[in-house]
Amino acid sequence: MLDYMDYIVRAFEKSTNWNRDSSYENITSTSRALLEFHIPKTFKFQTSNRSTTNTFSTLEIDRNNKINGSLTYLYTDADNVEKIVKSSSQVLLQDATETYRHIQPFFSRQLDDITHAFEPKSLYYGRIYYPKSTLEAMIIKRFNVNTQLVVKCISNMYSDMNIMLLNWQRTKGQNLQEFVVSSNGLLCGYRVLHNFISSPSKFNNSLYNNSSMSLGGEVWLGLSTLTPGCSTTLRYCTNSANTGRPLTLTFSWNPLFGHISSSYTAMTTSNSTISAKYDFNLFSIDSNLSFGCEFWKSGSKINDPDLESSFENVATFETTTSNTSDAGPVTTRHYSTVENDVLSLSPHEERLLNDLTDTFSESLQKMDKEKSIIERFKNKFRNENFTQVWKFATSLRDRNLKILWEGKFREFLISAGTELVFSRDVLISKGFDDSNNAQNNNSKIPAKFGIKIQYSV
Amino acid sequence: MSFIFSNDMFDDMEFNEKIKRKLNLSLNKSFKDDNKNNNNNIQDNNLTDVSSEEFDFLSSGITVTDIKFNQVPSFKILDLDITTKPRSLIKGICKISIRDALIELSTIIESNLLYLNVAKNENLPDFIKPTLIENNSFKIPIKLVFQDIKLDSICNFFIQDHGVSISFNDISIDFQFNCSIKILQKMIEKNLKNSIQSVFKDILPSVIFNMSQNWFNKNHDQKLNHLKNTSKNAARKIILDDSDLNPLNLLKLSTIVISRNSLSLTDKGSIKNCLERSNLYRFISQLPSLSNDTSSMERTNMLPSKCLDNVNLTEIINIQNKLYERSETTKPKRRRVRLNRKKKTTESKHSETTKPIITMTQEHPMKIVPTRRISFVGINKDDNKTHYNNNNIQNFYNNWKWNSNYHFQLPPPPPYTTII
Repeated sequence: MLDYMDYIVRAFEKSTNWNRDSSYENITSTSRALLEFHIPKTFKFQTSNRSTTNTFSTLEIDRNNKINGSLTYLYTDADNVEKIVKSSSQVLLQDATETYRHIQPFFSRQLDDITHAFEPKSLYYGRIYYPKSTLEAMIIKRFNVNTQLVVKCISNMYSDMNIMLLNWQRTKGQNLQEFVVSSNGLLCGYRVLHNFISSPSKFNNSLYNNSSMSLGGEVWLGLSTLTPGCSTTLRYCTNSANTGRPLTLTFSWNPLFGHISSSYTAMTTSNSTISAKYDFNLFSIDSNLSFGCEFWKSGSKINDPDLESSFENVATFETTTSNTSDAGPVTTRHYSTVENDVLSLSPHEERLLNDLTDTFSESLQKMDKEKSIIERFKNKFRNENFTQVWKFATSLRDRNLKILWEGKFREFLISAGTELVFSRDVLISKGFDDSNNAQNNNSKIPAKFGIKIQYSV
Repeated sequence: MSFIFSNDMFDDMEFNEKIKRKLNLSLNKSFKDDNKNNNNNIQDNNLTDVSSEEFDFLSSGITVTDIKFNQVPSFKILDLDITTKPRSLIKGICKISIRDALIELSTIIESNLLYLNVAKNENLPDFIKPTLIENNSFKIPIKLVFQDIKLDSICNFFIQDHGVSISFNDISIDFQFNCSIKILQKMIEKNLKNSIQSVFKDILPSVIFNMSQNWFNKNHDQKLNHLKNTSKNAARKIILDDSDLNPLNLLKLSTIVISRNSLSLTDKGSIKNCLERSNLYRFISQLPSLSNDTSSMERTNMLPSKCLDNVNLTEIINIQNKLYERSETTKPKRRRVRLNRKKKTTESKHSETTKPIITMTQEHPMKIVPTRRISFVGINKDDNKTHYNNNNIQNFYNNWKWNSNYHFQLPPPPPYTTII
């Protein structure tokens, strides 16, 4: 389950029209959400409140041997955040949890940037933990359409842990570049992600092409210890033309240490997703195979149009147009609505275009059909009122099974999970070695167990 | 002062195996304890010490796969000066040389330091952790071979009451270093050469000094350790060590205690062969002795035979036997009983006339277990009325005068009791 404050940060990004998927950091977020999901370790209760339209606060109580807590305040001056942010009773589960990321092709985002006039927006976040007296602070400053600065600080008076992280993000056309500097070991990093414009290619059988391809890389250097790091990743997202089901492929390579990993994630139905990832090391021939899946369970249908997925509707221009067009019958009108925004056509050109449309009406209709299938599938997932989701992930090398249940119970968002470890080696390396465990070697040992309850108004 | 240097220990080259075993043991202990190693492995120790200070990139223990000293390390004493006063002090200069030694180490290291520092660093909260893609652990087995180790050094040593201090003066060390990862070889070699000076100047002398202090104060340390143990355990040990308090005796004692737990005013009866301390006075008063002789006013120090009529003599003898047997574990100190000469003559007369019962010969010496407050004074001279004969042997015993009669342990019976 997403932390309430992460949820607000995402709402801020949506409101300011910042695409988190074009950051290299999130290039593998789909497979990470399915395979490396976070399991709560303790009992945690979180209650959140939107005090005014711009301020949010959270109180968290955490029971782990002794009771810890934290208090969070957040302020943002972004528009429409209050419309995007929903209370725990109204929020859609698919918005409140990490799940499959629908990557939009590049051209759709290009539209947004042009159409929106922009004012600088910022977000301020502060969190104090007690009794540990750790202070967390974050500032997200969106200077203009293309640049954003994220500053994160952490300070602890007891352990001398004072770290600052600066992340300068700049998007230009199809690229997003990031510079990261962390005071922890003077770590410097540069990340870049390039989105290839997806246009209907000659070799593509499908006329409507909703696929997108991105290539990115990162370079890191810890200046104090001279520790280098780098990686490069290719991501390809597309939809199945017949069924409209989306799928994501990623391929990562770490040239320094020879790691290669490839992942394949697909939504098999509107309420289930599977993911498989294969890791391989070129130098040591180490390999690992991981599987993950999630199953969504929907409750009663909702008819209230306000409860449609807020993230998609408010922010993404492209989606709104497609939603409205979906309501009507499939006509050639689509083509002009989408394209008109890009090229402001003169009446003459428009007439010519309409002539062409009439000529190729058959293929255009086919394209519309394909598009509608894809959109319908996506919107079906987006607007479904899911009440719970089961997530499972296992890895052959670690010999573990992670189980997570997330759901809505009355007005609470609950996530409970456990990790079962079948191998003793992993237990020892994790520090769980116990004489009791040594005796029943082969039994399932829950290495982790936790529950997290969230409530927000 | 003398010492023996046993060369045999090195002759059969068994020490190679021993060093290997010890090295394996100590290298895989926590790195902090590494200082307690012996001289030969310090070069290797330093390697691990330096690394463990920064971060723990060793993902397995260090194993010594091979160690070989082809020649016995030679040890030449160049000068020796022994002074015993005012304090014992040995000063000396010696030359140590090792040739053709080989040490082979193998371990597994984590080579992706960014993974250790960022991804796996548990001190770092997720909030501040930058996300790195494809940043996984990469473990490499590494093998370090030190060949042709040549060490020549002249060292001064001082041995005092509390420890040994050694200083190395002219060190020349040379070895060929081989690493399975060629990229790292030069770097490790450079670091090793830099650190070797500090090993011999600082680390090794301090290690030897600490170690010797442990040896010298071993007994003291053991006592300290013993005290450091929880007082419960220590107390238990002391009790159980005592042989007198065996389970049987403890059982007996507990029965006595239980028998006393009564509201009854009258005596609950006694346990056989046991005497309660509170009844001791009564027992003593009933015991035939000179001090409690009622008729002693008339006949000084004499005990009439009727005194013994109400005493069960066999029971007394039993008690005395018991006490004697119990005390026999500690060899009794023989005490000479001074007998008056005159009396001795009379006694000898008696012995001639009557059949002697007691003979103080060497075969049957009079065994008297002295307790602190009991002493024998002697036998009364005027014993014309008592005769040491078969019928009243008790009188003989009664004639021993007990000087004091409190806090005492009953003296063991003289050997005559066995005759009865």
